Amino acid sequence: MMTETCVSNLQIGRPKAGTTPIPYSLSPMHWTRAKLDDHLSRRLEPVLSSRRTAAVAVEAVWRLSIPARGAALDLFEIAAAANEEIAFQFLLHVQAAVDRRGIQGLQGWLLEILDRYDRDGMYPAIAYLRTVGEGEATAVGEVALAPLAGRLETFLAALGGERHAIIAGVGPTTDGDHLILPERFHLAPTAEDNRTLYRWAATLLWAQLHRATFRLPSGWGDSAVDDLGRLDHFLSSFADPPLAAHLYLLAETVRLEAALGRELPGLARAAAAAKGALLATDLGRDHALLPPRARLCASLTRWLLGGNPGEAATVAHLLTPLATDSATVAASCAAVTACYPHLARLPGDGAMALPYLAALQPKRVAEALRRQRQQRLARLRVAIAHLAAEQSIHPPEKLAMRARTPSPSPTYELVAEGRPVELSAEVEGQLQAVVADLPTLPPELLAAGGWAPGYDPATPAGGEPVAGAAGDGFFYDEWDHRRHAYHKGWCTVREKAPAASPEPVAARILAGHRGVVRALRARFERLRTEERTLRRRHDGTDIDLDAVVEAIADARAGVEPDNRLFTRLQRDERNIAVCFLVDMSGSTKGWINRLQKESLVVLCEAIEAAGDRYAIYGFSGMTRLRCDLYPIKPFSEPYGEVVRARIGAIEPQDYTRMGAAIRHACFRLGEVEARTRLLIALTDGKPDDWDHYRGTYGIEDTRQALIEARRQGVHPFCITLDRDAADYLAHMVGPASYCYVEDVRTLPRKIPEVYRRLTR
Amino acid sequence: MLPPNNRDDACRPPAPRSPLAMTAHPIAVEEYRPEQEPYYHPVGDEVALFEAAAAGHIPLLLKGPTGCGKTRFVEHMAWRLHRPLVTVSCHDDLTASDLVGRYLVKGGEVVWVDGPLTRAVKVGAICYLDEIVEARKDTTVVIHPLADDRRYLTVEKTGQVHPAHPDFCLVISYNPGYQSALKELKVSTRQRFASLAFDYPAPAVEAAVVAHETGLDPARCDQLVRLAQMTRNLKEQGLEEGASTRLLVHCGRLMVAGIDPVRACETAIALTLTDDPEMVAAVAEMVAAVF
Repeated sequence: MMTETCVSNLQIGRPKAGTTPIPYSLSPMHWTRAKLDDHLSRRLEPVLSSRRTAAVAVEAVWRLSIPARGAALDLFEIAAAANEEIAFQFLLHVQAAVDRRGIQGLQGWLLEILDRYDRDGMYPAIAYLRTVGEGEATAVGEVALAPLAGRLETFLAALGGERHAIIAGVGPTTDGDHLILPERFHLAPTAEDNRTLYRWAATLLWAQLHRATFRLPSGWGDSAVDDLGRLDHFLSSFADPPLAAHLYLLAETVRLEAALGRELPGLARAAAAAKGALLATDLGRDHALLPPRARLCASLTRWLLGGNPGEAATVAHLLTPLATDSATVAASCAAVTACYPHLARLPGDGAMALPYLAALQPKRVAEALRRQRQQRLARLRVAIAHLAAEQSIHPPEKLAMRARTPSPSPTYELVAEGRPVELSAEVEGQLQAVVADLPTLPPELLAAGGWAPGYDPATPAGGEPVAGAAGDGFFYDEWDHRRHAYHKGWCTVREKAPAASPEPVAARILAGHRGVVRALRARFERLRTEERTLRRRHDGTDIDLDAVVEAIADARAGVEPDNRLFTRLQRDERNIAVCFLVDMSGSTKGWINRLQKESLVVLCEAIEAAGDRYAIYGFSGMTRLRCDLYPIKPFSEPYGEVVRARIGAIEPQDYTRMGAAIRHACFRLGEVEARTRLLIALTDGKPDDWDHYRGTYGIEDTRQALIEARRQGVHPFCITLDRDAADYLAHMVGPASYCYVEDVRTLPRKIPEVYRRLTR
Repeated sequence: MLPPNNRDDACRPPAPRSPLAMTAHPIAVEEYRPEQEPYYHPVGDEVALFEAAAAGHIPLLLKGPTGCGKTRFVEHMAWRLHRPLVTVSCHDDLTASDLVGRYLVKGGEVVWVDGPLTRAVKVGAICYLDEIVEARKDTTVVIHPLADDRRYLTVEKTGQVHPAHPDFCLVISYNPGYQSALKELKVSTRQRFASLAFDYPAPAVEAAVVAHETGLDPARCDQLVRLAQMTRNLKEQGLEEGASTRLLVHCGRLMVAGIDPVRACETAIALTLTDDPEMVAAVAEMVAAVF
């Protein structure tokens, strides 16, 4: 039912090879100094003055090596597209960056700067940019977190439990909610090993949260506090808590690395190789000059990396049993107690971090986990309250929980007066998560009445606030093709109440198109869910008597009889939701606007006849902070006078930021239950907005938004009126299907026709 | 006449075990009965429940995700109860006459031919309607009188009523995972059945199942099961559905045939689960971590 036939019958933009031309005729690294000066002066014009010329920047670039110059000038274009001042500063500091990070590292550096620019603004970004010369020179093979984070999150989500966001910061460590990883990793000499160590560190942090590092059993720490508070108590009970904390991290790392090695042997193998590479660095050397305790710690680190423990053999021997299958967190505590005296008696400072894990933060994690535990319970309570209402269990005090299977690892079920209550998969999952998280089930949950709403006033019943719904806007990412990355939460989309026209515009249009509307309605009504009997089928529910009589007559007459003798009841169920996006940018002024209105009125009449669910959104706006969508007809609203008045009031507004509009339309489509979801965008030209959203940038973001739509199971389709469409359209809407209407006057008839073909 | 239902059951072991595979010629639907024991590893009391339901003339609804062993369980029970098994895989074009029967024209005469359900009712077979929600809603009404204590099948076109053979047993399955308002069972249909919930078995059991079905060495089976669990954790987070036991069996067979484990997982699992290149890469990373 999709688009090939449709497209072939209409005017099609011819795809053009390649994407966008590079703006240089000669590679910039070969430019003369004069040409360079000319180019930079033009490009940086907004931030230059009579006293501040491009000469310093030209000088800085001229001093670079030829390959570095090429890379720097390519990246300069990216920076200049974001902010000219940053681009200017970029050139001034590019030599320092090349020294520290090498030519390969330049792009990562600029991405970091631009991320800060997106997040915090220009001045913090420039302050960060200027720090490039400080600190240690970057090792070769350094890798950045940003491009790895998304994939790492997915990987950890696959391992189980709730999804943790990965954020950049001082680490690797965890605060219980997030996994905090350093922005860059350059422990090992090769990028491959550094990537593995990132992954390994993140996986260890995940294991800390999910393999009870922060949840001590009773008997360790103060038994009076809950399981989450015990670790802090346990570590504080030593004379030197930082040393104990370090030993505990070491012990847990031994235990968790062994456990992960059994579960993820492939990753563990790669990690072992990377650790071996670390051994060959400074970390593997014997530090004879260090104070005794620090030397022992260094030896332990070496042992952890797979090297010879040397003088730490005794301590290492105490830690080795933690690598066995049966070792629990209690064994780690015991090992800490046993190892502690061996280090404590040595002089010197002993709080030394492991190479790829930073210190634990027991207090913060305990707080976060306690909060999560409460939220989980609160969410479960709300879900169960809904359930009780749905299944009409009155009063809800009847609900209780009981063990379904006996100890040691019981699963629980919900019962009302002794009979199990059927739970949805979601509630069941929540219930088991709560049970798995609690060390012992509080008796009040098991008792009848424990699930009554409002039972525990200390627990907030509403769950978490919905993320991203701050204010009245929706936030969407935007794709930057130059960075090959998203600007996070970049566009603010608001749904604005559309105006309604007091004039009976729609009625006039209907009167003017009566003939077209009548014909379309007739055609679209045939699309409705209906039963019709198909005759003369090879196979079917009943015999087609006419066909049989004919066949018998044929056979008698010696003609070969037709063997299609059946009738079949055909029932076409249309289950379609379609969202129309209408370009309301300034360029639609005049007769395009008039034809748009006509098309929409005719279209509504036609779709009403077909009985599909549909929505119409107009889009326009100016800058990323003001992407406006006008719900001319939301899915929930029936077609009527109000909608017609709104169509009549469609007036050209500002610019066309298509990506954000497409993303929001997909969000709205996602809320509708339908087998087929269609997004049909009607536009008169290229995406265009005031703040750089034009040319390749806009085209690429629109393209990316359409790709996202596809991924969400929405079929996108574009109808365009742009006569120059051929040169970019094929690329931009490649992920979608499209057509372009050459004769605008035919639009009111074309759009319903396209729709009918798409959904037939 | 409908072709005998020889749906290629993916969980069937490679050795030819079904009578269809052993005899070269087709047999009638109601003659199909598993001769040798189809391998099934019980995970709870489902065997006893099925036996009790069959004895008590209670129709059964099996629900659970795809590839977790529902079909195999029914085959196993057919063998255990020595009853023929009639399987109908429902599709959205399945009509009542596809189940009940129809008139055919043969050499100038009109002949009535029973559908698979009618045959099962007559001979006392287990009739297994796989993925019942896929069928048209009106179709499910045909089974109503069979699914309550009336236990007869009305054939409108011939004007006959067929009382069910005492051994006749109705089993339907559906996958609640495909959540769509349109693919829900009607309450009136649902409430005629006793329900058995299936899920992927516990890791140790699943590994044993994979080992039995493929002959792969146990350590590799454990790894496959771990990978499957990882993909199941990504359900609704990029993957529509996690890897089923059936997929693991396929993957294991590729490995036994000498395919490199990583390549086998890519072919049988990663590319099968998703078309999104980003998710394929993510699953590939999991494969690299597990193997």
